Amino acid sequence: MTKETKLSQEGHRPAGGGISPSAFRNFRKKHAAVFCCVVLLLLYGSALFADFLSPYSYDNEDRNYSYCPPTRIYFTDDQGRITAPFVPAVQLTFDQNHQRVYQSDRGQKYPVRFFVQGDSYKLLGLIPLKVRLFGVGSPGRLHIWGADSRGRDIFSRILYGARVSLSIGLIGVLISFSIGLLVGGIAGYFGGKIDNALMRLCEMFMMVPGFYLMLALRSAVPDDFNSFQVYLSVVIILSFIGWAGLARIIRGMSISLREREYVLAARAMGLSDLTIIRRHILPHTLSYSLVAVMLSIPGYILGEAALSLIGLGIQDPVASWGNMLSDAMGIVYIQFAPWILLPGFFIFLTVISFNVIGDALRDSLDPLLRMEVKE
Amino acid sequence: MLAIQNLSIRIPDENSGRLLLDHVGFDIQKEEIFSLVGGSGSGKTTIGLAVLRLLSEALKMESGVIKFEGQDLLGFSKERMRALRGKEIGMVFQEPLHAFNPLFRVGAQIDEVLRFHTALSRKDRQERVIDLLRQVGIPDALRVECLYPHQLSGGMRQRAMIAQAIAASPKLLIADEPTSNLDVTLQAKIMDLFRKLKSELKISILLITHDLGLVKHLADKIAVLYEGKIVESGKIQEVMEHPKNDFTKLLLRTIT
Repeated sequence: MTKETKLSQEGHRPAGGGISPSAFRNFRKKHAAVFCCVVLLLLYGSALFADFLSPYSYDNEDRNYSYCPPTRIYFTDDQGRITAPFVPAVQLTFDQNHQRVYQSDRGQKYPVRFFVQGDSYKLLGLIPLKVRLFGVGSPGRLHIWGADSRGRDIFSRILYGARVSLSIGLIGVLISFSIGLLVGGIAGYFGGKIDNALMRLCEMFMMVPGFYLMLALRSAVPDDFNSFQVYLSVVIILSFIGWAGLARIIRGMSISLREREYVLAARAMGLSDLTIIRRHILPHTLSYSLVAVMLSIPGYILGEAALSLIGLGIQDPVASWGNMLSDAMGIVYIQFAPWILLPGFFIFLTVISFNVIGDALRDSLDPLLRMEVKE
Repeated sequence: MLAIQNLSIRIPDENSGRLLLDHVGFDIQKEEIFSLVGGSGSGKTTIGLAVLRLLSEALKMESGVIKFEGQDLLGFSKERMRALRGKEIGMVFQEPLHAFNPLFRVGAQIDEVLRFHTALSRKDRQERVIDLLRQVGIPDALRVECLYPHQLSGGMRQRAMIAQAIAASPKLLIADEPTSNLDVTLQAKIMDLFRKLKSELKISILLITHDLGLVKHLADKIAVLYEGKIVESGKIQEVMEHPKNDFTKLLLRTIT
């Protein structure tokens, strides 16, 4: 959204990239979309500062808190007197049906404090710190949104998982759109045999249903990768699926754009073909591409979630919203620990935000475009 | 400098097609303004594009030799041809509003040519852009450089377009109907500019136009094109005073 903000500041002159200031004004009028922008900014911001905001590290586990329900924070002690907020000690027992029962003991108090010392981390990957926004002293544990099967804090893991799930959408889109724009631009500009070859290649990718292509590509990746390598391979696999459809549309646009007189003028000026594609063709597809980017990011987020859900994506203990949900695959777990579904809610929130923003962008960028994109 | 011989270009179709240019030939000398005059559809623009080898793929060059400073342009490799465009031969288009990319500032688009054809540093290029704009008669070059094409007036735009075409100091400038969208006073000013550029930069100009009146005081030589054939050519005074061809006579009658 920074692009839009920038455009508003230079509103006195026509903006580059086919986006007019009036498009920005139109976008501002769409309150739902602006709200979604705020939601996304909050989500991305908290992903960035996940270490500081979360009380525990993503792999901090305590088996005594397996499927612990959300911790209640008390403001009164067992005699009803008002005290500083605290969480009680929790004792895990099993009832006659072998169901977990957590009994809290308000006699044993663990005060909730801000800026407590917790698991060590590096803020933004640079500054080594131990201080976390809030938490309770050991051995008490604070699970404001409950705990998963291994007693890890769901809230913390959602924040850490946001890093993976949210960044995969952006990086995936970056890679696949670079490929898509380049291939589409080249195919449309040169035409003829090059066009033919590239488009048949695109069709090969489009022919295979996305999910199966994803599985096939994933099976080609070695099993002994570490979590970062797995992350990268998942990103690349996802990018491989999205580019073909975009390339076809960009190709169509670039076929019509190459007939413009400024393209002929650029050729008469002796500019190289790639420069012409980069400077004089692709920028004119921006208002389409921007909308397409917004509308396709959810696909990457869902793709990662799907891969991780069936255990082929991000591997435990690293958190992603998808692999957190794989905990919730059994009906029994959903029944007795519904809080493990929370990552699903965040996937929903992110996906719907991107879609609303994409729709609003489409409506505000270009009235003519509306028909083109909807199909 | 530029010699075209026997140039024939055909629009192919199922039958034999239509001959767009029929054995056209002429020579342009150094520091000379050569005017190619002809009606709509006579193939004027095609000649300009053929020199730069930018003909549409739908057209077929049947015969012809195009020599630039003694070198056969048709034998050039693609890369060599690209290096020559803009650097040795500049081109001014008919409608500068369409010939500029609407998304970039005028200055940036002139700079692009410099970046490709000169080894100047970023800062030197910036100065050169300003110089160029001043050279073509834009006094507030600093302001104009930062404007987008649609913010310029028609005359300014055409001047900026000429600045772009001469940016890499070409030896030959091809101007394709450079004034057909301007009013009469502006036309005269642009013609003055061409005259000035010719003497200052010592370049040759191939001026393609349908308006004989425009070039009668400017051109050194003239060729009249009618339905793809050169029907008359020679020194401008001779053609003006003793036209031999009926079409030339017709053209002359329109301007007096």
